[in-house]
Amino acid sequence: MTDTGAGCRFAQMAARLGRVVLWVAIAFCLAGSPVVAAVALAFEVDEIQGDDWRAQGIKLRLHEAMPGELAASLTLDRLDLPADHGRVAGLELTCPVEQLPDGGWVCSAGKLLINDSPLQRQDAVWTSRYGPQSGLAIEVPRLSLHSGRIALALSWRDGEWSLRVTPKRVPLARLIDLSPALTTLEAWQLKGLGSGILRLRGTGDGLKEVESSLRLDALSYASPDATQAAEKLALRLDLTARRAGTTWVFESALDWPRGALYSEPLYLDMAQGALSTRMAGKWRPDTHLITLDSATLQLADTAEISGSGRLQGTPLEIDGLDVALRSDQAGNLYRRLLQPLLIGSVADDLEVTGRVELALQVDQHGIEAAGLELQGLALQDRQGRFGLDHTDGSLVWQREHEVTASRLQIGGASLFRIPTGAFRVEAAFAGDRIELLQPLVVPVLGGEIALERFALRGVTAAGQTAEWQASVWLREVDLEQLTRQLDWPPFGGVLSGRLDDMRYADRLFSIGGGLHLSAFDGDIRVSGLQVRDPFGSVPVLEAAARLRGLDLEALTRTFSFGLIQGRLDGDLDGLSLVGWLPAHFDLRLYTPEGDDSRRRISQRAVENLTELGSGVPAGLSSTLLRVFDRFNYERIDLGVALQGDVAQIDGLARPDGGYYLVKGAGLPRIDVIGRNRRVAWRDLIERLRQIRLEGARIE
Amino acid sequence: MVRRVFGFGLAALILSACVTINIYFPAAAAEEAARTIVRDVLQGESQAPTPPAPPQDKQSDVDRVHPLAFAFGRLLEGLVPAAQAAQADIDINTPAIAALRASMQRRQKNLAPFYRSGAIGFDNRGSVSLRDLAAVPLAQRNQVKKLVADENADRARLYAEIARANGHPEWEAEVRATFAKVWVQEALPGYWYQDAGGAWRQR
Repeated sequence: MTDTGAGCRFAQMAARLGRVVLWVAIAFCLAGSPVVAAVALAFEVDEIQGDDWRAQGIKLRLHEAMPGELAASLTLDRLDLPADHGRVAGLELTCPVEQLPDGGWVCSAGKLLINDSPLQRQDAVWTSRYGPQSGLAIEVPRLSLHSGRIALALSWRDGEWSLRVTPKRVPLARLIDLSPALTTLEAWQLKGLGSGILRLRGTGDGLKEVESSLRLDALSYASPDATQAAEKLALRLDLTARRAGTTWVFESALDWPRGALYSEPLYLDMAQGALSTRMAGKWRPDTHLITLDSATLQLADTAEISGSGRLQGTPLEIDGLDVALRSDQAGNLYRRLLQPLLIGSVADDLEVTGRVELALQVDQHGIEAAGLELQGLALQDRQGRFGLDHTDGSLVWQREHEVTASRLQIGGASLFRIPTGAFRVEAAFAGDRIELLQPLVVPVLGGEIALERFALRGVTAAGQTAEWQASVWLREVDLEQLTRQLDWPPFGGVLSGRLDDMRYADRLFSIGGGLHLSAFDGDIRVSGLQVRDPFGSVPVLEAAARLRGLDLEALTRTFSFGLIQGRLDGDLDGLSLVGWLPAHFDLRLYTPEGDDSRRRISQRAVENLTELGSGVPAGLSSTLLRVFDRFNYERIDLGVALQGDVAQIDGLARPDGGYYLVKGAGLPRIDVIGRNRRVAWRDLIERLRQIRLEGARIE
Repeated sequence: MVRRVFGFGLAALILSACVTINIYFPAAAAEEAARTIVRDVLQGESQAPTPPAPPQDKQSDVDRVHPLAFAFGRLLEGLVPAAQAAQADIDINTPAIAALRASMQRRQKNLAPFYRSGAIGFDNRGSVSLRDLAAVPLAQRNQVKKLVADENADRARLYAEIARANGHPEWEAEVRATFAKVWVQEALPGYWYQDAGGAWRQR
């Protein structure tokens, strides 16, 4: 209780509002004169309590400091802010109020003292002005907030209010102090400084306009689950939003000029090209509908994405969206945006160049239509498994309708070091099907591979792995080039055949039916060919083959083995290549039954066969037989079975335990007889290599 | 006489019953094989790749035991031939396994700093798991994820290949479980691993 002047006490009132107890005491003292010489007003409340806030020790005083000037002061012992926002203690607001001729007043040198608050201790000045026409305006030019500061300006006129907040290098970490809702940020280790300006305008029924230009500098954060993080990021947001009825119309520009941003799984270092977005649209909070009239996202030197559409619901879901992506540097697009999404797949280690444009139409059910335009796109697997040279063309796809043809012109491709020539693809996509409009003919190694039918499934369905099935013609593929490319012993002849049931599913590539090779004037039929995990670190190939009527003369010339004339059949079973190296096979090469061709073997071939079987040269040239260049033979029989790193060699059985590799005929007769049956695979390969190196063909 | 014939029949029955046991997973041999591979791979952190160890000479092991036990062993070996012998060993000397070991050993030196920082660790399913991505600088996070994806793909193939190479593709889960245990046991000092209950611990 305070008495002023004559100490007259006018009133003491008590009011009770619900649980709220008000003690009001007003002292109004007048001088004895009929003219009001001094006015003093004191208004005290012990406590005001709301549902979740409470103010204690409120005192409002008004007295005449000088003639015509009133001094107003408000003190507050303690204010507990709503929703656990903290408390304000020892607030003191004073101001000399100057009366204005229009009935208004102005306070040009107010003071604000706060002992303790979520904004810490404050010792600030403030100004205020009121006029019947101009309304009420309050300005606090400088509130300190740790190392930064904030200016506030509030005005109220004819039921309209506006608030301007101007932060300057405000430490973001301290925002946590302002609201318990922000304490989750504590775990994010938020750092950075905020500056800029935020303007809010509204009426009694709420906010009507937001205008902001905010800048965050040296922004760093890390979400506890490590999926979101930033380092020394600079961020600038320019936003204007106006409410018309229930609809907000907004326009925004958000730029990330510097720093690094990680948003699982993408990592963007702005030094490699900064990120900026522009958005304009409408938002209806009552129906949870966002209409994007235009949106662009630009990642410098990488890609530009633009789009428009509608999003609705909580959480927001796409109602309809058109998106266009354009990249003149597909390499950067792959490296910065695509590779992180592809980790763990075959395509996570590529070198990409060229230009790409992509258009997508998305509806509630997902992607409805897609179009891809490629200009000079080339990609190369860094592990050398596959590649695509200069590719131009377009791909179009629709979920429900068959669409016009997709056409690609491919400058060349490669698969496991096997290069192809240029080829064209013309196909129609529909749903998860691909229909070839023209047979796809790929020139390969002097011949061609023609894809007649191709069916792809499971590409668009989530959770399914892609599988495809095709029928393919092989025509005149040069085996010598093929074997050279694969670093195998060069093997003359051509590969032709029809593969009716070629398929890839669950990482298993298989060829049903058979593959037919025409080589050395004979036939080779490969069956049961399959490659498990062809793009994995250890592909496993399995196959079997039947060799029929091969011309030994052509064969031995190719391998520079020393001439052998006659025909040869062979059975290859259980072939298994692991990591493209032989792990197992069972091979038998033999003179066909009833072969009536001329069967002769040269001295060099005898020596080589002998060496192959025993590791020791036959030494024919040191015997009498050296005068004969060629010998007749009855039968050749060579079996090699590889298991692990040991090869078992076998031939036509002899009663003495040995075996014929070559059983001679006529005179002079020569037999090549083997006695050792087991040989280390490595030694056998070395012997074969020696033979090849001695031959004229390779040198 | 009749009794003796009957006795032989019974003995044969018992012995043939022994043979059927051989389809069980050879846990001890698998653990030994896993240990050989795991040690070999973890050596990649500091050493140049070494060729896979040659198969153990089982004969020399047998020679060291008591002559009577040896004779009994030989007798059993004669009576229960191939199947019993196959059960006692796990073959890890196939080209595929060698290629996978080499691939994992090469990767090890790139993985090692992340094992040590606790960013990744040996989980209790025989794979490598991301444990604390926050321990990885932003610019390296995707590199770590790729290393982990590649390593886990190799490990999965290794387990499948060991089962397949030993003629029992259905052993894959047991091979994996064996490796899961051995990776943890062999984890180098500073490495993190997941215990059976799923909690992370540091070696």
